[in-house]
Amino acid sequence: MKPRRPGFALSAGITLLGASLMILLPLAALAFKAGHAKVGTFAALLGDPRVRTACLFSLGAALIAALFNLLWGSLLAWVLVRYPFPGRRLADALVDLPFALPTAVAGLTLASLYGPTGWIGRLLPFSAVYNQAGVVLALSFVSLPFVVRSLQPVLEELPRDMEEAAACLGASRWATLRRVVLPQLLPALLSGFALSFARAVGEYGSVVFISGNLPFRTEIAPLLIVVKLEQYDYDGAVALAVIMLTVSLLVLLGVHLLHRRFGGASRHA
Amino acid sequence: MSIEIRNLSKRLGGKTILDRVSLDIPEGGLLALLGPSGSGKTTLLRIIAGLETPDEGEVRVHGEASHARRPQDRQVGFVFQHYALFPHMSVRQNIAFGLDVKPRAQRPSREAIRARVDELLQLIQMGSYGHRLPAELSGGQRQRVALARALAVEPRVLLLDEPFGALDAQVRAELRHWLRRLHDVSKVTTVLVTHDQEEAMEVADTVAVMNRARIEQVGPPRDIYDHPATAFVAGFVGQMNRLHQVAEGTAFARPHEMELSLDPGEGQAAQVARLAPTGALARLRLRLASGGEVEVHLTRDRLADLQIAEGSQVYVRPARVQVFPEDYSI
Repeated sequence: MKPRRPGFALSAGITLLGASLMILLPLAALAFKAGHAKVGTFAALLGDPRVRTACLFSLGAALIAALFNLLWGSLLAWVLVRYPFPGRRLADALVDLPFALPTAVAGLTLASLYGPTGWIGRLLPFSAVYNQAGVVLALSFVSLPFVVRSLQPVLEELPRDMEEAAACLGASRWATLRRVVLPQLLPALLSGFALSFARAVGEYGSVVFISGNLPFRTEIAPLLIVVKLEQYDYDGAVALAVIMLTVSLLVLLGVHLLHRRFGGASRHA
Repeated sequence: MSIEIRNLSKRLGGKTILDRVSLDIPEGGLLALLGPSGSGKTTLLRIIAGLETPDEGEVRVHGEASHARRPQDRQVGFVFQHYALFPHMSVRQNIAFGLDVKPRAQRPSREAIRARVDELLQLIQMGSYGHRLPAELSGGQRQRVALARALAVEPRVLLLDEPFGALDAQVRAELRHWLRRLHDVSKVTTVLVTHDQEEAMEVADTVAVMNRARIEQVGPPRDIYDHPATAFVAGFVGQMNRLHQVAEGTAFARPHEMELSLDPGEGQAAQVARLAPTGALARLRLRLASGGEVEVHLTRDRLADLQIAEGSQVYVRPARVQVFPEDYSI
């Protein structure tokens, strides 16, 4: 017998319509446009060293930023969940700020803070703006909340008695963290990392103000797309977008597979 | 003495959790900490394990003061109410955990660990479950694994915090007997925290009854039942009827120590409000003519002799009364 699913047709219809209009249609249009672009356009793009460098730099910087966020985002989530301290609620609310701030403002602020005359930049022995470090800094800033927010609910649900059990069995704090806590956080860590990475790959607004946009050094792929648009090279812009999308999709797919593998470990191993 | 507890006090947020508690737990014994929720029994257990620190007082295990030691170094086995198994590890890995994390110099060989785990799987009668994950086990099986995991490191003391509290009544009764047999074999000094007086009375050699941050009485189960030291213990361990005021306090009597008669003059007049024959005993609820209710337990034979039913007029009097100064209402 067919199970009754009240409201399924209506809710599925509305969701699909929304998803189509907002996600599928733009992506389809992009693919359609790209289909019109000649194979030569792709070949030319991939052959252009400036484009190649920008693409690799975009991916590399996003990867480093996501890894960096993984570390200190986890630490931040841990502190917010595990230690009651005055101002914790405020600190918790501040984590979302990079989402709310227009990214251009974030870029300008970071550039002035970390610039040679900025409050922080003055103290640094090296320059953190107009170079690759600046790009990573901006990308970390805008994508940090993903790791914190993925991890927080899982940490809150993690029963404390498991860590106590490990301690009573003689495990050191480090062994408990490595063998009991981290394996259970792995799925959330991977999601946070993937979201953070995806956000960082597509970031444009904050980077252009802090990177200096030097070709072959700090130029990111999204900037090249804008440059191509300004030159009315729509085919080139679309082709570049498709290349970036494909690579990001592959990376996210890879993370998803890892997620299934490790998330599944707790159920089927 | 295996564990000596001296004048432990613990306060939390202005509330006294433990109030100058002292207790001796003999080597190889099984002691039950019995009390209602909030009486401080779990906190006492956690302090013995080192999971919490007392404000005052000390715990000595085998003569050494243990307050400065971390839980890792205390060699206690702790079993939690909600099992606290590691969900991403198989049953085998869970049991082997305490051996696996030992420093290299003290860690047994892989073969020795495997043999030890096999032995424990046999002990908990789960030989074929080694590769299952905790999520694939029933509650009773999970708790047996948790117990095996705690025993794997050969702890000096085994601490059980309401270990059967989350289980069905039937599984609970089975595990209770199994735990007792296990203890008779292993002889590890064991402290069991429970709010279930039946569990405490059946399993333990010694029962310590806790109430409001203090230990009210310590003794063998039979003494606790037959000679309760306080009104609280009398009411918490088994049923008690509150009878009447006397000069020294209030008189109480157990339901099975009440005598019933059909002759007027043999006690107080009462009416049978409810009669439930269960097992060897019939449980009667009597409504006294003077107001109030008492519980009476009769043998089935006695019930047959009396030929009474719900609504019958009877006369009731206690065969044995115990008097306690009034400090707690049952």
